[in-house]
Amino acid sequence: MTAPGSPDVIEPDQAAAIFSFLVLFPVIRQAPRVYQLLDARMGTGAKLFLEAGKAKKAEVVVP
Amino acid sequence: MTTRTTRLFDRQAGRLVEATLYPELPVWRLLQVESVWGPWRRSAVERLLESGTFAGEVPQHWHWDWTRKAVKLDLSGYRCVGIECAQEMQGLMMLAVGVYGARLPPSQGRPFVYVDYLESAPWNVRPLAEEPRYGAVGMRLLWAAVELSVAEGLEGRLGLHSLPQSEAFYGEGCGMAMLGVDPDYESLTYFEFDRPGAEAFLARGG
Repeated sequence: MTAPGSPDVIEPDQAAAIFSFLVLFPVIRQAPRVYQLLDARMGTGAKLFLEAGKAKKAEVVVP
Repeated sequence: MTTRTTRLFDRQAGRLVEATLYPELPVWRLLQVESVWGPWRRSAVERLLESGTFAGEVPQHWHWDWTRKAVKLDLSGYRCVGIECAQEMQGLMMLAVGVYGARLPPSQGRPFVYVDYLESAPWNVRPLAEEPRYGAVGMRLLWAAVELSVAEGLEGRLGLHSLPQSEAFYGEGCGMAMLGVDPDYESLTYFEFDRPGAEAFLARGG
């Protein structure tokens, strides 16, 4: 049996980190898309809307 | 988590197809779903606005973000239900079970199920999608919420605040009682099922 802490044992916190990465990777992957949108809108001086409630949108004016 | 089989209407095939109902989704699943739905929604809205679609025709929930709603799962009584078909989540519903009280007499103040948010995947919603894929998603989710209310001993009591575009669905489509505009909740119209209303809804068949 391999002792905990040796290189070929995945500790629980390492497993959690790997799992989090696999789950969050698709979310993180979308970040460039959001920035692309922001860049595009900055060029036109348009507005961004974020969720502030069921019907309410928080308006972010991009100069 | 025990899943159940339900059915959605495949609009392309013109027939009912089997789907899986998840009664309690974990946080990571909501993040995963939003990573797919979010870009889809934004692209669709951009396309609509660029094509000259009147802004009032754009679905009023297009700004929703389930990663923000996911934090509610840490609160007592909150859970998220989902329907999956063809390896994709077709609908999500955030519920507060036994957290708030009913408004319809004679059950005012008695605990019920509150539908906090309910959304069909953007590719199922016109005009976000030109040819929506699946129908009956909202009806199946609401059905599951009423069944949960019964199972939890809440007699089918259920309430929600509706976006203006969905009022006809909840009122005429589902037969919920309309209790008027709620000035304390974004001036949205409030709907509720009491026990007889819930029984009538369930009696219509799934």
